[in-house]
Amino acid sequence: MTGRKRILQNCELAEKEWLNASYYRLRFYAPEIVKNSHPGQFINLRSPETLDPLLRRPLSIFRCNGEKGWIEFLIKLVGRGTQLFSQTKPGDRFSLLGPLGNSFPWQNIKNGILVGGGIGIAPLVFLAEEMIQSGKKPTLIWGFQSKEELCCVDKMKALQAGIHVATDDGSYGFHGLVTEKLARLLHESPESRDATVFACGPNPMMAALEKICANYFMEAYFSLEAHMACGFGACAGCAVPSHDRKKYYLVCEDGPVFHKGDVYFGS
Amino acid sequence: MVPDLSINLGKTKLDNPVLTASGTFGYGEEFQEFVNLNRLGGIVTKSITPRPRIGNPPHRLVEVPGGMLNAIGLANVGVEKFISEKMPFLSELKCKVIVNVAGESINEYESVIARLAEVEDHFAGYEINLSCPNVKEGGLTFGKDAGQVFKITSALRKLTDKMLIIKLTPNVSDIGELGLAAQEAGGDVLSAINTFVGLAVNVEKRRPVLGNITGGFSGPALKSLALAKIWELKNTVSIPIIGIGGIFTHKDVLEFMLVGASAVQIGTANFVEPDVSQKIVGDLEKYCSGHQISQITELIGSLETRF
Repeated sequence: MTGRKRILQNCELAEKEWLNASYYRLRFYAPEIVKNSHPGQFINLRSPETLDPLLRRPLSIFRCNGEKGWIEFLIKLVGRGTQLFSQTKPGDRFSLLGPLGNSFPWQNIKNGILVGGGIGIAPLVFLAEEMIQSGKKPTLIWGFQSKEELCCVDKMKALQAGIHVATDDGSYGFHGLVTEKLARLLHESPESRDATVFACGPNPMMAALEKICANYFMEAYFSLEAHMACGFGACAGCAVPSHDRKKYYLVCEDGPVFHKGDVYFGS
Repeated sequence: MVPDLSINLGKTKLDNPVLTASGTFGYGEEFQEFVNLNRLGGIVTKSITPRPRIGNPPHRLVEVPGGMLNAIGLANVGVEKFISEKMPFLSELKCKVIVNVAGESINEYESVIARLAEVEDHFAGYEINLSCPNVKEGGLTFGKDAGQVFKITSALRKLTDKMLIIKLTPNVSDIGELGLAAQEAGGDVLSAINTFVGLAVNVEKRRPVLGNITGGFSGPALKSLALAKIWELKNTVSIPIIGIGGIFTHKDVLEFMLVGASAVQIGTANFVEPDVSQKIVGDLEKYCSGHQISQITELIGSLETRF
C-alpha cells in the first residue's frame, strides 16, 4: 500500500507482565514501527526460533510510546501460539511485521464511545490514550466475563476516562452485556448519541452494536479479528463477507477496522 | 569464485532455482517491500481465471500440526484486470514471471491462455493449475485423470510456444502416470506438488473449521511427502521438474535438487517470513561457495542410492 510503511524486524522482548490469570502484556523497543503506528492497526508476530507453531499471530497494538519507542501487546491465552508467547522471557527474540491494516478514523470526530468485549479492549486502550492526549473525552464501555477477567480498568480511570464496566456474571459493575449497557446509556443521556462508536469484540457483540447504532443514526466502526497467514493481502485467507454477501473483504488490508454496514457479522 | 546458480527449464534459463509458489505470493507487488524480486529465479502469480472469482466463504485457513490448511477458492481478479492492473508491475521485473492459469473447463483454460498470448512477451511461461483441491469444478477433477491431463495439455500446447508447466496433484495413487501424460502431450516442465487434501474439525461446534469443509495442506510436514513424489516423477519422466512442498530453508532446496528437481517453489514459508525467498537465494550461494560447487546444476538428481 502506498503511503504506508511496513517493517519486518527482529526484536528482543523487553518486558512481560501478567495482568490477570489469562491476560499478559509484552513490550518491545521498535521505534521505527512505533513511528508509523496508529490505533486499530496490528502487528504480525512470531518466534523466529521455531516453525511450530507455524504462522504469525496478528495482535492489535495495545499501547505505543513515540518518545521512548516502545510498543505493547495485550494477549489472552487462547491457543498454542499465545501459550508459547506467554512462556517467553525478556531477551527472547521475536519477529515483528507491521504496522498492518487500517486504523480507527478518530481525529475528526466530536466524541467517541469505545466499546470493548474481553480481549477486544486491546486496540481501544491505544485509541483512548491517543484521544485523551489530543483533548478528547472518550467514554469507555467494556465487558468482561467476570471480575477476574477485568483488565486495565484502573489505568483508564487514572487517565480520567469515563469508564463503564459490565460483567456477564454481575461480579463487577453492570450485570449484563456491554451492548445492554450502551443501550441504557444512549436511552438515558440523549447527548451521548452524537458520539461515534469504536468497537472491538466477538461477532455477536458487533452485530448487536450495529443494530443499536442504526437505531440512533450513530456512526460506528468495528475492528475485526480473523484467521490469517500473511497479514498483508497475499494469502487472501482472512476474508469476511460484505453486508450484502456478494463479495469478501480481507481483514488485513480492507480492515481490520470496518465502517458500519460494511460487513456481515452473521445472523 | 561466484558459483553459477543458473538452471534451465527446457529452453528457459533462470538465474537461480528459486521461484515462489502460486497463491502464496499474490501478484508479486505485495512482496516488493520485503524482497528484491529480481534476486529470485522467478515468481509464479496467483491462479488467473477467465472471470474474477470472489473465493470461498470463511474460514479460509487454519493452522494444523506441521502446517496449515487453506481453502481460498482461487480468489483472483480475472484475466482482464490481471492484464490491465497487475501486468504493468510484473512486466517491469527482470526475474522470470510465470502466470498460473486455472479454469472450470478446458474451454476456460484455453480462453485465458488465448487472451494472455496476446501480451505474452512479458511472461516467461504458464503454469497450468490442474490440481486445486478447493473448487468444485475443474482443477483437481482434471488433474486426477491422466487422460484429462493429456487432453488439456495438448489443447494448450497448440495455443502457445511459451514454457508450459503442468502443476500436479499428489492426491492420486500414481503421480508418475500424470507426469507422463503431461510430457507426452507436449508439456515442457512439471511442477509438483500442489497441496494434500485435509480436514480440520471443531469439536465444540461439531463442524468443520473451514467454510469449504476440506482444504489443502501445506507447510513443513509436507516436505518428505513431496520429496517422495519428486522421486517417483524423476524415475518416470525426462522433462524438468520443479519441486514444491514445505521448503523453508536452502537445505530444503538442496534436498529437492538432489532428489531430482531442477528448480523449486517456495510456498507457505512466504507467509511466515515474507523475505525468505531472497534469503534462500543468498544462502544457496554461500552453500555452493563453501562446498566448491561451481554450478548448482551438478546437484540435480545426484542422490546416491546405492548402499
